[in-house]
Amino acid sequence: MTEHVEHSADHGAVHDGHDDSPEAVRKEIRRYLMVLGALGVLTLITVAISQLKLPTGEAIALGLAVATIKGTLVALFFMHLISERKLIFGVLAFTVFFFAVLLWGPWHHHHDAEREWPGHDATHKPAAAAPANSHGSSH
Amino acid sequence: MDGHAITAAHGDAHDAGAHGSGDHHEIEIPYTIHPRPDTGLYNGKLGIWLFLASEVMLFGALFSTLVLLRTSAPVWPHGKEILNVPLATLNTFVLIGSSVTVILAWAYLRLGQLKKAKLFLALTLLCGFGFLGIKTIEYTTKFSHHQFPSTNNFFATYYVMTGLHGLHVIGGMIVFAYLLLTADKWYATKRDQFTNRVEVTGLYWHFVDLVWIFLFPILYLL
Repeated sequence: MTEHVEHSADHGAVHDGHDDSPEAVRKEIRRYLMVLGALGVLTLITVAISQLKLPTGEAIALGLAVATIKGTLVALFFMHLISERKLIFGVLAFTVFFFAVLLWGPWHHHHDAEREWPGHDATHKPAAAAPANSHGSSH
Repeated sequence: MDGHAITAAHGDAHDAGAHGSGDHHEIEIPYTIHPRPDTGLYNGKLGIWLFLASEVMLFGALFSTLVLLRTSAPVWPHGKEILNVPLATLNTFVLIGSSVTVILAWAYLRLGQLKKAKLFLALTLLCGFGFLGIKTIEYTTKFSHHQFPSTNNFFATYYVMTGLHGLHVIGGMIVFAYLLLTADKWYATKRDQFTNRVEVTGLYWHFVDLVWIFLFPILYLL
């Protein structure tokens, strides 16, 4: 019952869910380069959105939406989630749930603060805020 | 080692080890190449995904802290007004580029082209140095303007999040340097295990890229 060390003879077969035939790998390489182009364009779009002088809420929503698209591309194609085993998705489902709980906590607190401390301005717009420190510099 | 490797998962590790008096058998980590029948994955891949899940929670705690601080603060500075957006944009391109170079290294290993694979591993390492170099310029400029983690909550979160991310970049670079330096030996003896090692290191590197994809707009742009 030995796990044999594999050598080149194994190539050209399907290996751990990946088709290792030269044609399939070359096709993958083209796909990776297309994803690279898409990520570059989306990065420029993210920067452009920040220059649009949108209200802070809309800018954050748009910026995060573009970041989510970029993250999805990385996860699907570079991290192969598009063809990954079910077990990985199970692990990720737990991760996403607990990550959401982490983010929900402070957001929930944000609304609590408005209710419990009437003087707290929970709807303040960070866009209108001045830099918290006068040492601010654009360099 | 071929033919003598012992897979504990098959239950014969102990017996085989006991019979090996005077002949030192190496006990190999099982399923480094072939998928385990029950998980459908080789152990390294399942291991790195579990590690990445813990990493999501680590960075998630910091993102959670940022949301708490930002929504509770009466004023919060705009990153684009006090941070260097062009440098951060350049760093984004460097990191995205490195994600592609590492996956190309893995692809060329699968094609049996070690030289090209090593070239792309070296390019990935170079991108890592480039990223850290740009980050160093950013940090030193901030320090020269007396903008430290203790300056305010914005800079505290900026330094902690980008600093932790930078440490992850350094960690990845150390592994890439190791893979690059030992590539010839590994490729000659355990080609497919080496290919899988590059794949799992790549998965880690893509995660580091993924974290930056969110850090960039949240800290620098919004």
